[in-house]
Amino acid sequence: MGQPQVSKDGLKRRCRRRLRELEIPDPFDLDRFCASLSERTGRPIRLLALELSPSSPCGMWLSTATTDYVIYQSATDPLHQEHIVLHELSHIACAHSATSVLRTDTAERLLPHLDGDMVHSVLARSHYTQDQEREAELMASLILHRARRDSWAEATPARRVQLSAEDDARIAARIERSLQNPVRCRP
Amino acid sequence: MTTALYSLCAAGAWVAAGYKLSATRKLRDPTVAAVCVTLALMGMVFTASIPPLRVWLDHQLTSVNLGVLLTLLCVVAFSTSAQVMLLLWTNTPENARGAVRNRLIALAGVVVLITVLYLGAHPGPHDHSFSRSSAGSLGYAACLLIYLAALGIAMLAIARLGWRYARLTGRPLVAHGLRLAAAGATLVLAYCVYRLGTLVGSWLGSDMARLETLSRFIAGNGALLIMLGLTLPSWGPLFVHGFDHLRRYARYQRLHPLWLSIVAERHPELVLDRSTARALRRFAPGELDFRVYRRIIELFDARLALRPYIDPAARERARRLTRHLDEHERSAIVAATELRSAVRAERAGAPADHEPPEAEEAPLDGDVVSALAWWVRVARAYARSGWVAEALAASTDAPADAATPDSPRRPE
Repeated sequence: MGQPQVSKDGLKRRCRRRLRELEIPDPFDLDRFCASLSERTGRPIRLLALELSPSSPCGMWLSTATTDYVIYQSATDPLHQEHIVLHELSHIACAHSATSVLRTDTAERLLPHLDGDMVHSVLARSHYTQDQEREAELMASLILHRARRDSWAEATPARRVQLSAEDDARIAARIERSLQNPVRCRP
Repeated sequence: MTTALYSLCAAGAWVAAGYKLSATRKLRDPTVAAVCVTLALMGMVFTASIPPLRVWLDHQLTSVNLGVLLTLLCVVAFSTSAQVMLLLWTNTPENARGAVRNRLIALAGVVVLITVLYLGAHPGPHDHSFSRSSAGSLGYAACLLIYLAALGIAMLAIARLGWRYARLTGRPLVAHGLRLAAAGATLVLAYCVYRLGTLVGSWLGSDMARLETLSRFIAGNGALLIMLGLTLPSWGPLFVHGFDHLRRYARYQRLHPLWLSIVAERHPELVLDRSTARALRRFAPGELDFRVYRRIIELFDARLALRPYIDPAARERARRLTRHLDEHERSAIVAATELRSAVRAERAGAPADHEPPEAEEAPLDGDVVSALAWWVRVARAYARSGWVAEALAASTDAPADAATPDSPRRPE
């Protein structure tokens, strides 16, 4: 593993600062986050799920003259997919520069409807040994970790008994409200 | 024993009332205020009932026993407050207003009535309990009957409503709290029945005073249950979250051997942060959740990276061996087999398959909690599942079909 050039704490601080600048929907919603990021960059963002071969990276940011394409591995768990998408979106948010230009044939294979020559640059998620990759990975982790914070709390189970009347629901709600405070659900 | 129990009850009620009071200031919610006042009055009842304190109060006036009167009035006020709390639960504040006003007027009347009857009965300053001699006076007996009726009605109402809404609420802690309060109210109701028995018994010349200590024990514990029940939904989440946090830490630790084997040793380029933070720091709530999240993502990454090395035959055998198991367990064992076969092949320098079939699908719904639970199952199967060992062993020893036993052996 290569040595990061920026210290771990420095990177974390930088990511947190960037996160404060971004509009992160609460509760988190990937489409809304994409829309707000797109508004910020002035370029449309398109998400494409593809079954990428294991030798390819599991996510890519392809930049064309007009559009940012985020390609992500479809053959993995939805949580992992969301993380991969956020990693690529973090590259866009951080305005990272591409380190390699996608070869025309690779671009055509991935996106047959795209003219390979139009692809200006690509950034791929495969490992976190470079600063840009580490930064994007950390940003994605921080965003999703925050977004999923509430999901740690076990979901409220459904009522075991069907309420006999609307009144019962109101009474149960009043009892819950009066007894459940003052401690918040999460420490 | 009574001193200790009643002191505990008094302290508990005051702490509970103060705790709820912090919410009332913020919310200005009459239902919360009613819970708060009920707990505070319970604190008053038990404070005035602590034997040394009551003796001290009794001797403050030479002609009248002040401690017993104060206890009687506090109990009636507590019963009224409990009824108001129930009224505010079962009605909107607007609808409850009239009934609450009637209760308060009735309380004022009862306070006057008890005081007049009590002063008329002239119980001496050394008469510290509801003894037989006190009950001999008609005025004092009337005071006791009013007191028992007020307490009995309130306890019956708490018990009925508690049992009923414990079944109807969807919140487990509120349900447990209501059940505790209802159980406590039932105990206090039993105390009321006993007390009525001693009163009637004294008129009939029967002596039931031997059960005095037991009755106080029942009443004190009933009150403790009520205050625990009314506050459990407030402080319970702290304990529940503490327990969840411990369980999450244990699960995080259980992922470590698998993470070492497939991420740190095979694909170290996937590790974002190889921090060697102390256990205490790793245990901090935000830090632990972040670490759990990172570990899950790195395990998913490594799983993708190892996909070209999966032995499809071993995977098929694992599927056959585990087809009788439930979906989560089966998929975890199959995934563990895939990972073990892939690590073995990669380590042996086997060529990668660039068009591998899809890896076993995990039955997950995209949230961290279910992903963590699934990876813990995978880690356990990876480390010591008999099914995994059998599926892998057969890939070198015997044809795939011969590896499927008629009645599968349950692994260790």
